Amino acid sequence: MSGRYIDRLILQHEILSREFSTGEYGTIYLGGGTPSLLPPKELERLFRGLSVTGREEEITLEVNPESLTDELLDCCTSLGINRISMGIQSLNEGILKKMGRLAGREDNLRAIDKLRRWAGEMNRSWSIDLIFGFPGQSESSQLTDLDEFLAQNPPHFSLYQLTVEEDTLLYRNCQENRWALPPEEEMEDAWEKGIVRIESAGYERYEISSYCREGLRSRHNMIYWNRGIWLGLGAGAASMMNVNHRFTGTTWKRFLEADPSALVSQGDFYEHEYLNRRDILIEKIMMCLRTRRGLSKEDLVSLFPKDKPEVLFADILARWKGKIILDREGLRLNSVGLDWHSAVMVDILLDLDKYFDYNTPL
Amino acid sequence: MSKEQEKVRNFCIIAHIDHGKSTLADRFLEKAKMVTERDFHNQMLDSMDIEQERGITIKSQAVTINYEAADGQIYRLNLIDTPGHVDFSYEVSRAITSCEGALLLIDASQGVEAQTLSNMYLAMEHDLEIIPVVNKMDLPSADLERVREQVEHDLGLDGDLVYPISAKTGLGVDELLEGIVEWIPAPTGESAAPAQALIFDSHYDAYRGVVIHIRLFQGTIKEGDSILLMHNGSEYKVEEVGHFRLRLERTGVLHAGDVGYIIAGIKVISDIRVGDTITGKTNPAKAPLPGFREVKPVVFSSIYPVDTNQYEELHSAIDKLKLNDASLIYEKDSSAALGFGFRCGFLGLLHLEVVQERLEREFGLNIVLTSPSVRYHINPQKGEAYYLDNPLNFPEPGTIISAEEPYITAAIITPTDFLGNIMTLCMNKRGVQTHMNYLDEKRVELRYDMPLAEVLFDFYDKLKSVSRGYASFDYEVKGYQETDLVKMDILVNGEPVDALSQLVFRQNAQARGRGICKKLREEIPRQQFKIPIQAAIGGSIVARETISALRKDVTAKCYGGDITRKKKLLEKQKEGKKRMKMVGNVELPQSAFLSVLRTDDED
Ligand SMILES: Nc1nc2c(ncn2[C@@H]2O[C@H](COP(=O)(O)OP(=O)(O)OP(=O)(O)O)[C@@H](O)[C@H]2O)c(=O)[nH]1
Ligand SMILES: [Mg+2]
Repeated sequence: MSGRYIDRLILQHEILSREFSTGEYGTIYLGGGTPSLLPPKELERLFRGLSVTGREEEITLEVNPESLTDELLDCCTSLGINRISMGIQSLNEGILKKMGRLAGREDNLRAIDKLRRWAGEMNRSWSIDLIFGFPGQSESSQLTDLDEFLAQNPPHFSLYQLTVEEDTLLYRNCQENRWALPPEEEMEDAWEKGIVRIESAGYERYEISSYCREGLRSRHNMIYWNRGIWLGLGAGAASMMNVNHRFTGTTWKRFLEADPSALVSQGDFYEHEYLNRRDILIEKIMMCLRTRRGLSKEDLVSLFPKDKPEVLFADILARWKGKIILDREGLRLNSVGLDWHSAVMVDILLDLDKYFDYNTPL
Repeated sequence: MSKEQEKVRNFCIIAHIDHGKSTLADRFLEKAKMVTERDFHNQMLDSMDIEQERGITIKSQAVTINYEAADGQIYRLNLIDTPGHVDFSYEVSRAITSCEGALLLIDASQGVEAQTLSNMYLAMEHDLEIIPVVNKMDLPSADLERVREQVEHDLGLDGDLVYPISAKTGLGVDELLEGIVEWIPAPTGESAAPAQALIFDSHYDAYRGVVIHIRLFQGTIKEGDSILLMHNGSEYKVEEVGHFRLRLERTGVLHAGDVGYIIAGIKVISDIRVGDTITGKTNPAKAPLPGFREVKPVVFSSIYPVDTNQYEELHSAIDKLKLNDASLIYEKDSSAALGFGFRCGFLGLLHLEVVQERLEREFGLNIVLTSPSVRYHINPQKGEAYYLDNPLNFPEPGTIISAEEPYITAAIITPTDFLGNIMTLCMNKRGVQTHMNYLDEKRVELRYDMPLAEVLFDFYDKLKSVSRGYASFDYEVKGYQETDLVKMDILVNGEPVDALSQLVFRQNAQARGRGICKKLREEIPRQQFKIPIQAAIGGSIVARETISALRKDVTAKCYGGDITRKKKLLEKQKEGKKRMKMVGNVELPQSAFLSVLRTDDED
């Protein structure tokens, strides 16, 4: 199974890279699913197949704590992987059990130690993540979880709010009243106190859900958030071929079952999405405002060459005073504002549709 | 009478709601091969989206079909499918005036219901030949003999005349068509006489302008003729005339007895009045036809554009909608919270919802409607008594001697099993029983005097639920009775929102206030800050709820592959928000304004 999947990835890469002119990649991210479950041999084969040089600026591998073996770490080292992102989600034993995680609190702590040692030798980085608001958390247990998490001193971490998606065990448990989400007020309070603790621990919130020590941002993810160009491999992966052209992925079934020769006709790997001026604009604003940097002055000029941002965004700036800033450097949400990203975006969309002529020539 | 005219039959299909009128019309269209199989869909004549979605007829719809009868002759049948819901009975009454006959449909398992009676009376007033048709004979629960008895006993019609059919399967439809030819008289009227055409409807076509729907009682109208609209003498030149097929079918000329349309380059929309008579300029009729009874709106509400700059657009949209909805009444209005709009009168809450939806769909407007109200009668201490339907104009309580509210006579037909439930419901709605009559051993007819305001709000739904759908209901406005009225203000974030104010019966006020606050809490989305919702009477708060602040979306992740999904989500939220109205610094969704009428009184 994994062998066939790797074959497909390599083939997909071959087809896509014909249309993708950059040649060498700046960053590589192996994520989604569980690439760490691949036998090292297969991982090597994949790297060879994708012509990874090992000299790329940032190569990240996503792992689960239970699969972080010495063998895997050695393999990472030899392949040139220089960043590992590990999903631990919590350090609270009870919560981890409830989540149905394979790794418990101790496993997580051990894996973190291992990671720290692996990274410490060279100029490598690592990241872990924490889930906020899982059923069973209270304000105080959530803050304890965060404190212990911060005590691990990760160079980079992500903080996610739990989203209950349909057709999951969590969803059913909540629906059938076996579990209850923590009271909103408690979680908001935990969040407000938490953010203070994170900042006083010296982290920068450089994107809505991403935090790092000075200079240790995920370069790969920054490309998404700046709406850059990237190539995505895998069944459902999207690729940004060009500023106005995206490939969107196909289903697993089609991906794996298609006849390789038919794949060359490309249809089974992706569909084309052509983006108009409005799409590009909205996406650029939506993605850039996720980051603390926001839209730079240059971004604003290239997006709205004929309009003054202070006029275009006048209503937004008034309505979201204290949360959004427009100054010499550009347009961005401040630390409070980041928590309101969606709501601000909806207003921006409404105002652009109302006041901006998407047909003005660039 | 010309040979042609002898072969015309004008009839309408009338019935209680859902008894199968539009489905029967489908069978007629099929028999006449008016539609290809591919184009066919159920309830063809329900051509508006809202009709299809809600599965009910809202507009009467005329269509002409050719039918080859057993005698070998081709007959031209002009049929009008009518709505069954009480709110649209004005549509039925207008359809009836252009017909010589009516098919009165009765559901074979439901039997005679409230609107079966009321619609039959309408048809009788105009001396139509009534053919009783028992529909849905394919249902296992169909009981022809029982319904036949009801036809004789409740309706006073000849039970032997009944046509048993199934509009669904087509059973008995051929026999019914023969019956129509046999029993319904051909129209009278002389093609050589001065023209008299009754306008029974109209609509606005973006390309051709106003299309007038008429029944020509006397004379002939052809293209090129100069015509006069008799109510104001305005003159137009006929550009096109024809029949209603599923589309407009140009014929060049209409004769006495015809139902059809006229296009005459009408620019001034207000020249067109439903009920007016059109005559020829050269040989004008001496007097207009009788026209229609006046519409009496029972519920009032104001319509405002969400975007205050769209007032003019709203104005032109309402003018055009009025062409196709003669029962809509409106005049200019303004509100502190909402700017300029229109005060409108409706025939019921369903009518109100339909107007709202049509304005939005057909004209692409975003609008809000204010709390609906009935029309009260006020006796002030000084000056003359007057009517009042806008809560905003309610005077200081100390300055009035008394207030009166409209009452109706409700007629309810129910199986005896639910009698107890229904009597309790009516009592809770301040109803006073005036009459009770066992139609047979299983069914009772009840009459109640009740305040209209109680019936408008959730009476119909409640009636259906306490009778498991079996009770039917009809009403007519009776007059005014003294009442104890208070004005309830709704404060959102500390500010009274005039569009949400309403007049209520004092004893219900507290419960209503609680119900409204609760409903508003559900309807108003969270915003950046906490929002208190309060109901107040004369400055004192009677109910209160709080909407907590918007939940921050602190930590939703988003990487490359999520962009499309995120963007779609954003667009969806945007669409929702587009329909919201800024009132003070709070955004109120359209649904908030109308939610107050779906409010249960909280006990
Ligand atoms: N079984 C059965 N169902 C029928 C028959 N005629 C109509 N129906 C069903 O009854 C429902 C109502 O039919 P319509 O034709 O829309 O009824 P209507 O009288 O036009 O309703 P309104 O216009 O809203 O008053 C639909 O679900 C039809 O499919 C019939 O002969 N047999
Ligand atoms: Mg119908």
